[in-house]
Amino acid sequence: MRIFVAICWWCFLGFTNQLAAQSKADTSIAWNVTAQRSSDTSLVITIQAQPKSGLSLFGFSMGSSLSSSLQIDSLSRPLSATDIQIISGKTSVVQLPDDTTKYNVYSDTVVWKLAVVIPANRKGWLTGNINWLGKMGDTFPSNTYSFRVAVPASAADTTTSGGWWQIFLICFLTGLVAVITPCVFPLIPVTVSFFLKKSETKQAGWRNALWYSISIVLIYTIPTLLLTLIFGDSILYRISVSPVSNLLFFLIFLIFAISFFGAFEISLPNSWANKADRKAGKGGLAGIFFMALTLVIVSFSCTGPLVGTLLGQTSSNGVGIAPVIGMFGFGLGLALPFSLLAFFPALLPALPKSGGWLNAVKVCFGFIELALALKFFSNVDLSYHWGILDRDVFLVLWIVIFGLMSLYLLGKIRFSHDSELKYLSVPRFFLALISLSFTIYMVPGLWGAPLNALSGFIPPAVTQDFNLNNLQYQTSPAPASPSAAAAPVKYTDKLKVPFGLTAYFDLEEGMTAAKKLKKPVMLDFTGHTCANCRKMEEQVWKQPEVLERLKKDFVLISLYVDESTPLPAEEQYTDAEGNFISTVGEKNLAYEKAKFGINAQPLYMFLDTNGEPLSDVRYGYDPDVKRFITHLENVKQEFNRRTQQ
Amino acid sequence: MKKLLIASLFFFCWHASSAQIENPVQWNFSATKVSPGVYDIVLSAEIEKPWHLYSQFTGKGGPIPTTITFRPNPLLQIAAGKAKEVGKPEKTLDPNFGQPPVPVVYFSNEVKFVKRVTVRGKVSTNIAGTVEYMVCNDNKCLPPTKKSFDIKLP
Repeated sequence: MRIFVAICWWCFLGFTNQLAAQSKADTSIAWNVTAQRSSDTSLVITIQAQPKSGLSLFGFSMGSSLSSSLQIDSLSRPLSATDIQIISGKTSVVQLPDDTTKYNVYSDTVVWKLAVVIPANRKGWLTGNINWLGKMGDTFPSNTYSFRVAVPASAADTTTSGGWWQIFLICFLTGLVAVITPCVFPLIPVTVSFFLKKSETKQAGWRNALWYSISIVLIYTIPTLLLTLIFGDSILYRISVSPVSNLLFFLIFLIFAISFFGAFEISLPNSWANKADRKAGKGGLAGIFFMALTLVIVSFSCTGPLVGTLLGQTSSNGVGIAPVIGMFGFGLGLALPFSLLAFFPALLPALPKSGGWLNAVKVCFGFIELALALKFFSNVDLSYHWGILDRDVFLVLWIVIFGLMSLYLLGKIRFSHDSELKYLSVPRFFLALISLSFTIYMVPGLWGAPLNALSGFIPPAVTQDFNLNNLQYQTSPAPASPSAAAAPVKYTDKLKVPFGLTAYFDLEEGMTAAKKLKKPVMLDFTGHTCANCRKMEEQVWKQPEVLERLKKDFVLISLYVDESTPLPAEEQYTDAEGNFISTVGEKNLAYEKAKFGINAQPLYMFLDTNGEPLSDVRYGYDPDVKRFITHLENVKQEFNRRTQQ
Repeated sequence: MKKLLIASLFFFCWHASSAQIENPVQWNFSATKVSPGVYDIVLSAEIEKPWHLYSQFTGKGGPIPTTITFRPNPLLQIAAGKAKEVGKPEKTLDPNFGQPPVPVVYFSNEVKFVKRVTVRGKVSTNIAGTVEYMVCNDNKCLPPTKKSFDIKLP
C-alpha cells in the first residue's frame, strides 16, 4: 500500500513539475538584478537584461506612453523617471503602425542602475516587478519578471536620525556627570581663574576659555572620526560585537571598578601629561590646546570607563557616525562647565567644595562599572553557550552589587580611601532610594518575573532553571515531567487557539516542548479561511471529553497554511518544486504536502516525540465526536507502547 | 483485541492510500476576437464534484474571493472593474464566517471569467496575469492557489 502511495506521489510530482516548467518557460529575456548598499540608507540596484535574438526591449522611460516599467515593493517614496539611469546599451528606434512617435528599444544586453532610499535597519529581501514590453517582428510580447534581491546588511543597524539625538543627549549628560568626578572637578576653579587672570582683557579670557572647551571636544571627536574614516564605518561595530573585545571590555571594566574601589590608581603615563603640560606652558592657542590635552590625559582614570562604556554602547546600537556623535556629545558635556564658568565667574564660589563626596562618586562609578562588566561577560557567555551567567546568576550578582551600592550610599560600608560620614546628606539619601528601589525591583526576577524594564540587558528567561512564570503554561501538574516546557513564543501575537488550550504555532518549538513534556504531538493543519477547521473546533474540540484529553495528553501544534507573516530572511528557501517559501503559511503547507502528501485542511496528524507518525490515518473533517475520541485513544496507546519499549 | 487492532490498522493503511494532493480545478485560458483590436479574455474553470470555487464577489470575512490580476502592458487598455462571471452562482449564509454571517458566493461544475481588452494600434501582443482562487468541498478546503496565464492576442 505504501508503495502505491509513493507511486501516486511521484506521478503527481512529475505532473506538477511539468506544469511548473511550462509556466516558467518565459526565456525571452535573461534578467539579472543585484543590489548593493551605497550608504547606510541607500541601495543601488543594478538591472541587466539580455533579450534573446530577434527581440528588442523597450526602456524604462517613465514619461513615455509605451515603455517597460519598474515597480519595487515597500519603498518609502515612489520611483520617478530620473531615478533610473541607463549605464550601457545600444538603442534603435521603432514605431507603432498608428502613430509617428519614435520609441527607443534595446536589442542587445542593456544595464540600468537606480538608487533607492532604504532604512538602515531594513533586512531580508527587496522584491519588485519589471513589466517589460518588447518587439519581435510584428508582435509586441509583454510579461512580468518578478525579482527578489537580498538587501545587504547595513553597518548602522538600528540607528535612525532620532536615535542620533538620543545618543548625543545620553553622551552629553554622561560628559556632565564626568565633570563631578574627582579627577576633573578640582581642576575647574583653577583652570577658570587661570583664564580670567592671565588674559589681558575680559574678551581674551572668554576667547581662551572657549578655545579650551573646543579643544576638549576636538580631542574626543577627532580620533573617533579618524578611526571610523580609516577602517570604515563598521569598525567600531565589529569591535563591539566580537566576543574577544567583549571579553576585553569585561576585564577592563573589572579592573577599573577595582581601581575605583581604591585598590590602586590608574592613570596614563606621567611623561605624557608632563610633555603636554610643557607644551601648554608656551602660551597662545596651541598652548591652550595642550592644556586641554593635559586635562584629557590626567582625567583618564575617571573618564576612561565612561568613554569606554559609551563607545561600546554607541557602536553596538548603531554605527557609522554614532560613536563620533557620542564622543562629540561627551566632550561637549565635559567642556561646557569650563566655558560657562569663564563667562559667569560669579558662579565659581557657589560650586560645592571638593572633598569626600567626590570619592563617593568614584566608588559609585565602581559599582556601576562592575555591573556593566558583567553585561559584557554575559554577551560572550550567551554567544558561546557556556551557561556560566544564566539569568538567575546574573540577577543575583546585580542584586548584590546594587544592594551593596545602596548600603555604601547610606554610609554603612567604607572603603580605605573614604572619609567618615557623620550624617546622611540629602543627595546621598535620594541616590540610595533609587539604588535600593532598583535592587528590590530585580528580586522577583529570581523566581521568573519577566522584568520587562531590563529586557535586553539581562540574559533571556530560557537560561533560568526555576521559573514560576512558566507554570501558567503547564497544562497539567505532570508528575512525570518535573521540568515544564517553555511556553509558546513564536507568532502568539498573531495566532490564537480557542477554549483555553495551549498551542504552539511553530513546529520546532512544539516538538521541543513535546520532548520535554514526554507527550505525543497533535498536528493541527488549519487556516484562517478554513470553515471546516472552525466547525471541527466548535463541534468536536469543544466537547469536554475531547478538550480534557487535548489539554492533558497532547501537545497541540497548530500550523496555519495561510498565515502571511514573513519568515526571517535566513529561513526563507526555495523548495524542490522551485516555489519560493517566504511566509509562515507557505512553510507549513510545504511541510504538510511533503510529510503527509495532503494539501487540504483540516488535517489532524499525531506524532511521537521523534516526529514519527503514530498512525497513518489522515484524519480530516469528521464531526463525529466519538470517533475523534477513539482516534485520540488509539494514538495515545501507540505512543505509550513506543515509549515503554 | 490485538487482532482487532491489527485489522483496524490495516484498514487505516488502506484508507491512507487514498490520500493525495488534490487539484480539483482545471483552468483553460483563451481570447476571443470581438472586433479588430478588441478581445474578450476568457478564463474558464472546470470544477470537479463536489468542490466549489468562490466568486470574486463572495462576502468579506469568508473564504478568499477569486482574484484576477493582469500584468501591466502599455499596449493594452483593460476594461475597468472586475471580470464578468458567466456561470450559476450559488449563495449561502455560512455561520462559520463573519458575525453576522456573510453571504458566501460560489460556483460548482464550471464558471467563466470574462474581461474585455483593447489593443493599441491593433498590433499583436499578449496578456499575462494570475488568477488566485480557493476551493472547498463539504469536508475540507484547499489553501488559496495561484495560477498564471499568458494569452496571445490575436
